[in-house]
Amino acid sequence: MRRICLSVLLLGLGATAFAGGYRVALQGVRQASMGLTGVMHAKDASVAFFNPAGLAFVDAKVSIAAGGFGVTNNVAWQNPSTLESAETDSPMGTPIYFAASYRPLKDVTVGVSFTTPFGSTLKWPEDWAGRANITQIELKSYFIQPTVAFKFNDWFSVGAGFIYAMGEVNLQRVNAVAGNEVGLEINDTDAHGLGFNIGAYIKPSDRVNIGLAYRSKVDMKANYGEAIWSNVPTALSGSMPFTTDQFNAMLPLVSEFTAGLSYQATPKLTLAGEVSVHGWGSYRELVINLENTSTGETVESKQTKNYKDRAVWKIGAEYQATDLLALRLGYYFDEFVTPAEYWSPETPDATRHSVTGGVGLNFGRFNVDAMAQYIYGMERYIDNIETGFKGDIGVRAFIFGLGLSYNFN
Amino acid sequence: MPLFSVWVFLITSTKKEKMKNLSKIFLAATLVVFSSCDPEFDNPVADAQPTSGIADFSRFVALGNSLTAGFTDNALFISAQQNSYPNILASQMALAGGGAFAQPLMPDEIGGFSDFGINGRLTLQLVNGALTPVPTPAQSPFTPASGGPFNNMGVPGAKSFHLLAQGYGNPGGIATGQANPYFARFASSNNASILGDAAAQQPTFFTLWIGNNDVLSYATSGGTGVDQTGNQDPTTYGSTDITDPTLFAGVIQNILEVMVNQVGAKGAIANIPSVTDIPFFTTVPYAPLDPSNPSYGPMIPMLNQFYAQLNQVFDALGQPERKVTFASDAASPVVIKDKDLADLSAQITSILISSGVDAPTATLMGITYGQSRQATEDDLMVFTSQTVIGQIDAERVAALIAMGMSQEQAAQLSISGITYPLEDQWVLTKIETAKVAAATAAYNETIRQLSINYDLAFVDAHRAMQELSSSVGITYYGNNFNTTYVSGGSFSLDAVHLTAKGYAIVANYFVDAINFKFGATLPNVNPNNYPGVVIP
Repeated sequence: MRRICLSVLLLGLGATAFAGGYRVALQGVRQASMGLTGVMHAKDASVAFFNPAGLAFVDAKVSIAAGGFGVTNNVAWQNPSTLESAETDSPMGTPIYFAASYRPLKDVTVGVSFTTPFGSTLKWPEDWAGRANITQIELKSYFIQPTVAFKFNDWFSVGAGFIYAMGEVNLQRVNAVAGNEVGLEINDTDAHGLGFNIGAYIKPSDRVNIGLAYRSKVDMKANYGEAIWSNVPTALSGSMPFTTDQFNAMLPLVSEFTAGLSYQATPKLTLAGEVSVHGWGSYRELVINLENTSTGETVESKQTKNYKDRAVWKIGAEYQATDLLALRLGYYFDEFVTPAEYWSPETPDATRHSVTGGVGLNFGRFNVDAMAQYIYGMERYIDNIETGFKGDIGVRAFIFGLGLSYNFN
Repeated sequence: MPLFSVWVFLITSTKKEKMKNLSKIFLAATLVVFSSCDPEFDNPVADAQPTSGIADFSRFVALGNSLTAGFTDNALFISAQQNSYPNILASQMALAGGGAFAQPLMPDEIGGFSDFGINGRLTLQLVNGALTPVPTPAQSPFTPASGGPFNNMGVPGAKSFHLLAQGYGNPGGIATGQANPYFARFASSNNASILGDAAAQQPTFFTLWIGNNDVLSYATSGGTGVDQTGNQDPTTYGSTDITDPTLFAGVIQNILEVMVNQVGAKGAIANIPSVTDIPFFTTVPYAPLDPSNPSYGPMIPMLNQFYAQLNQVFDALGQPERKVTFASDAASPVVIKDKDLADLSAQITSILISSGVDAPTATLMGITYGQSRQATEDDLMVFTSQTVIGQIDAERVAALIAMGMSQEQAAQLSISGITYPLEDQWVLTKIETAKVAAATAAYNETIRQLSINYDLAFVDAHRAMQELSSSVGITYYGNNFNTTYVSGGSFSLDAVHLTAKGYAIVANYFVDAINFKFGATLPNVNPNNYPGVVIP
């Protein structure tokens, strides 16, 4: 069955992007509809995630923002040498966000944001060729970020946030053991990590907003997660590694440095451009340590990742058509971060172009934003030299989102 | 289609007069198209059309031995034949103009011949807590295969020269060993030869993988046969002899002359893997005697005391390399009989007598240790030696008791590999291994040269097996294949023949060689999708 969806191609604008690896760059509906630009949009409390300093320029004593997205991610693989193919049948991902800010003093704004900035939800067929790598994965992260911003003057502020991250991971695979196929599921709902977020916000004129922000890497550690084996031959049930029942692993939620600028070209038209540099280079390998908790025996499974640092280039525009209605468009370009020789189907990575669009309805203090996004992954040929997984990869994703915000003084 | 709704809303709401310009900008800037949410490839595999290049796969015949027949777990049975590499290859050829591929299917899923006492397949079972390959008794007698001629003409047990032998498929000769029951099942007549029956099918394409048994039967017998290098008359050969390389070259040339020049077929030829790469020779270590084993460790001081006297004799004879010692902190090599050593029986006996040992004991010691030594890393223990090492040899016990020894003493002197040197059949010594290697190298040089002369696709099975037996093995989609027994995935329970997964790997090598030589575009297969040894 083919799902038909609408894609919007911008003539003469070239191509745009979404974020690689397992970054889910959906922390504000208005930002997402403008090509993911965010570091310079101080419209409501959701800016806390993008740039803590931006809170100081939100034009409200109290701001509350919340929203959610539906993400349909389709990944296809085919091997031209064996003529095998497979396609994911993933459940819809639902990233959400919530943010609130309060200005107790003229120059000080405090806030908190709750976001889900990293994740991956994929379900490959149980019997597909890459089942020894993965049959399904559910990777979730939750960032809670208390934030404070200080406004020095009318044109400059700084801000900082502390990140407490929680995570959940469930990964399933099926390995061949001689002529048997043995399942392994690792599951942890209690992963943790810490990080920080700092930024500066500059408003050199009424028409220009500049944002700079750095969000640190968060090492998401899954300790004492459960390891569950299935279909283990009876004769092997007492031997390693099938007696392991616990796993430890660490996944880096990588750093991001972002610089962006918006320019109010006309009273109604705002243009924005942003570049973010993602520190994927710190993801060198994925080590899953399995342990038999009664004997202390361990066995380690290691996959080389060797991801590359990458920049994502984003542009967006907003046209305030009427006092009520704003129209938004955007595009971004996101180059692949996974080298072909270490590509792995649990985080299917490709160079992506993405177009975004949306509308905003302004009811005074109350704003409603809606967006939609189409992601086109460029076809690539990958050949993992460790696992022998190879073939063509295609990625498409469709995203929609709805957000609400409420500002008052 | 939420995005569609968004844009409809956007366009309709821009119809107001003052927004016309904006509307135009957006419409001009925007091309709205319907496209699939499913990724599409530039060259979808669903549309791929494999081609045969300059080859013609319409009538394909496979020639060879047990490996070609699909033999696995020490038997030939229906599903094993269906997963034979020629059948896998034929299924890929069928995508590129290949015709039907008929196989002489066995009557059941067990194999063997009940009337010839040949067992069916091995299965892995838990016996006394240990995983053990257990043979299944054959259920069907010898039954001719109906529906020939057959495209898969692989005959288990065939050596190179058997392909030319008339009468090799005469059912009347099976019981006497003159004929092969597997060929007899489908030979066109009592006097037929494998090559004659193959040529009669007028194949357009053939594969030939023969010569393994010309060295392997010698090797698996622990080198009990004769290296017949220099003797070109196969009628004088024993079943475990090494075939003369010159005879081998003549046979292969004869086969290719018929298939290529008389029949006009194109083909592929595979060479012979090294026996040192297959688990039949790499599973049992030369030093398996582990001091932590409770039935061996406590014996070590007594054993060393026992051998001390003999070691003095070897020193006196200037043969220190014959001495036997067992370490208490490391695994020790087994004691073997090496028929290539000078027989020192008489000298041992006389020295022992002169040092006061009684004549019957001295004689027994001389006979037992006249050609013995401890194994070295250059000796290959055959796979089946694990069933005798450390066990008391009942025949030897009976013989010693008949000589007047007590049961207990006889048993102590009959522990295979420890007090009783392992017989020739359990070990392929360095010298014997070298003979196998020399013949294999000669065969492979012939195969390589003839593959050029006859313009054949060349399958380097020798190198493939080296790769498979290397420390990294071969990995397909995250599953590693190597030559470790059972867990390596590629070798079946008999440690000589492949699993279906292993045959799928072989099929891929044939596919690659055929594609390379003839410009075909046959697809590979995924070995993970084929069965292997099932662990209970």
